[in-house]
Amino acid sequence: MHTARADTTKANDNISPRHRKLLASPEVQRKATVAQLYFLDYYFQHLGYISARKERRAKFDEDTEVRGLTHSEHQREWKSYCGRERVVLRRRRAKLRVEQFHIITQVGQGGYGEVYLARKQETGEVCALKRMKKKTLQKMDEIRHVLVERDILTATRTPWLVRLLYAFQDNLYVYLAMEYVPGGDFRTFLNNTGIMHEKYSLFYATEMFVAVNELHKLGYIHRDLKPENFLLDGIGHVKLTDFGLATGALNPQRIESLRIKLDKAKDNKIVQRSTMERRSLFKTMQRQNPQWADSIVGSPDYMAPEVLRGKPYTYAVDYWSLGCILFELLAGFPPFTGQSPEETWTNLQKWPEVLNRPVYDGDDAEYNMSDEAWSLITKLITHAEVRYKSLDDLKTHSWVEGVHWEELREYEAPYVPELYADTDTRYFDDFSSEDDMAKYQEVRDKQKNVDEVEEVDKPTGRGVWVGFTFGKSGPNAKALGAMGAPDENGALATIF
Amino acid sequence: MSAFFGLGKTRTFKPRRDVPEGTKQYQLRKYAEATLGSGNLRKAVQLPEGEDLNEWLAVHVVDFFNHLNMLYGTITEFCTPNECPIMSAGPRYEYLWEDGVKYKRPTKLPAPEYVDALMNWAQGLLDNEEIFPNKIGVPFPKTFKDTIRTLFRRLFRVYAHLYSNHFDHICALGIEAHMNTSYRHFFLFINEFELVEKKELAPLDELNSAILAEDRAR
Repeated sequence: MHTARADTTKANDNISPRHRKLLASPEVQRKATVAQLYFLDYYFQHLGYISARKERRAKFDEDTEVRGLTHSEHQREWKSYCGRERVVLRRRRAKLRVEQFHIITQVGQGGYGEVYLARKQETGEVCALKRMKKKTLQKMDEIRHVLVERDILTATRTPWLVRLLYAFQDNLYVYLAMEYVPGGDFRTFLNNTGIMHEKYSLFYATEMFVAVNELHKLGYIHRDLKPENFLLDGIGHVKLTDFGLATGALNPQRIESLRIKLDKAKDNKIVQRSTMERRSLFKTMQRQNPQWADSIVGSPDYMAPEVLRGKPYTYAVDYWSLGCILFELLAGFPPFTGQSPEETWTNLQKWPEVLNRPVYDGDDAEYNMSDEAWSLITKLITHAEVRYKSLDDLKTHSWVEGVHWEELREYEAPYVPELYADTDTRYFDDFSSEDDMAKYQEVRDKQKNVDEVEEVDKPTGRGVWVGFTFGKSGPNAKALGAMGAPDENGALATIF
Repeated sequence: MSAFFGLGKTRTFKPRRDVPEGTKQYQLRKYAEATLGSGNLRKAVQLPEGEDLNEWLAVHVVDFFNHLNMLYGTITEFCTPNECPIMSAGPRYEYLWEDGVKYKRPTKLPAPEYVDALMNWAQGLLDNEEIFPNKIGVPFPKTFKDTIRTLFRRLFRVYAHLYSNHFDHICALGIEAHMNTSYRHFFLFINEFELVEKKELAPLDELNSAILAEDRAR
């Protein structure tokens, strides 16, 4: 996220070239932006508190006067009123701690931590509490990933992106408490669905495009979109969560690792498979392979070629991923997934030859995609220069011709989750079930490996986690408007 | 070295006028005018009638601690042992760290280590429920006012270091209005409750005089 801000010419004259370069770095820019938002939020809240307190006092005075109390009655009520105000003030000071949340059950497990369904004791609010080890994040060079995720969640309030309720930390962990989206993630939904009728695919695909566009409007590129990143809310609409690699720079080691794997596949031969065979293999792998639960390694199946090759990229990389997801909605399997990682890398290396229109025979023929759908896929899964890169590009296509974009969330979803309570977790894995737990064994094995990685030499400075904590507060701006130049008469500027 | 001390005349505080409508900062300014009237933070720092003084002091010291964490966090890349070998507030003031535990005598530390020690020490106090009770109904200890004074005196030093040594960086990052607002709030607060001796505030005397003068003019 880049907030426009004018440099102070006079100040720049005194700043060394090294510092000027540092000032322009994404990390420093991020902290400055977070600081600006922090102070604006703080003073909104603080002035709000003062104003609300005045109103409460005025109401107390008015109420007690109307009732014509005796002096001793008034004293008793005054004492009671002051006691309540003192409680409000003390609560303001209380730090968010994990003990304030009642853990109901575990609903997710990722490479960097767990996700729990939890209820905040004080408010009864239900949330998805994501807990991540600071050490793991530091070892895997993913601190920035978490900071950016927190920034994105803080910066926006849109029904298309999962909302942040709280962010806090203790010595060992950082926590993100997000709105609980009870319908489960889209990967689970797809696993429980066969091939989807095209009209239903249209519903989900358009919602995904709009959700990703919300992220793009904030200035972020996701770069690692896959079905797991989308959730279904209580009435079956789509929300985007887990903002992945939406950050200034990929971990260079990871880029290199992806590129090496791609290069190794250069001389491999493509395995020819029928559509039915590919779908069948994919379904079998889904049942046997826990790969999708693992966010440390990550799956390259939906990644754009320029990301895999470590090349410069644009918003178009996310449209490639959305094209792969659309392909999967319509065909029942992703376009490049092979029976083994090696086969997958070969398919990605030679994607122009591998990408074929899926055709089913016999009973499944009714699910074959239309010409328009295939046409759209070929405009999404294509070379970066000619690929769709915006929602406006998409809207020109005939497949989405009849879509009323402003009313998407008013449509009735093809499938509405059945929920019996606001803490219903039926659409998530059961972490006390051995079958469900088998999926996560690989994640645990990798976590063990991470734990054995050498401690990072340098201690984490104070600056790294500054600004992480975020309480429930009033409305957040998407970004600050452009800051003007300092007043010419030399006065020190204040924000109000 | 900061441009802050290159200017001869006294500087005053002034809300930024050119903030575009519709931005959050514009909304905040309107909100401040509506709630405080002309943005006067002096009223905001006053103890509400019937409120417990210790509770009021406690909530504010936590707020200013958080402000400084945020402000200092933005310039950690520029506050290094190399560039800030001592904890100073301009050329005439130097601070030595002593906490009675790890540093039993006043010790010369580079600024980043001093700030880190100070903020960790402060965090330890704020987290100590025997000093800053969280549970409703638990009273503050008898020594609380002394603890508060020590906290505010030391927190001032971080503001002093930021203004004296990193003002250019703060301006270049576009957060000088935020720091100025926070410091003005801090200063009006300590002035209201006489929490820090005047001699301790000498490094920012000019700023402090400007705040008081402006306050009288409102």
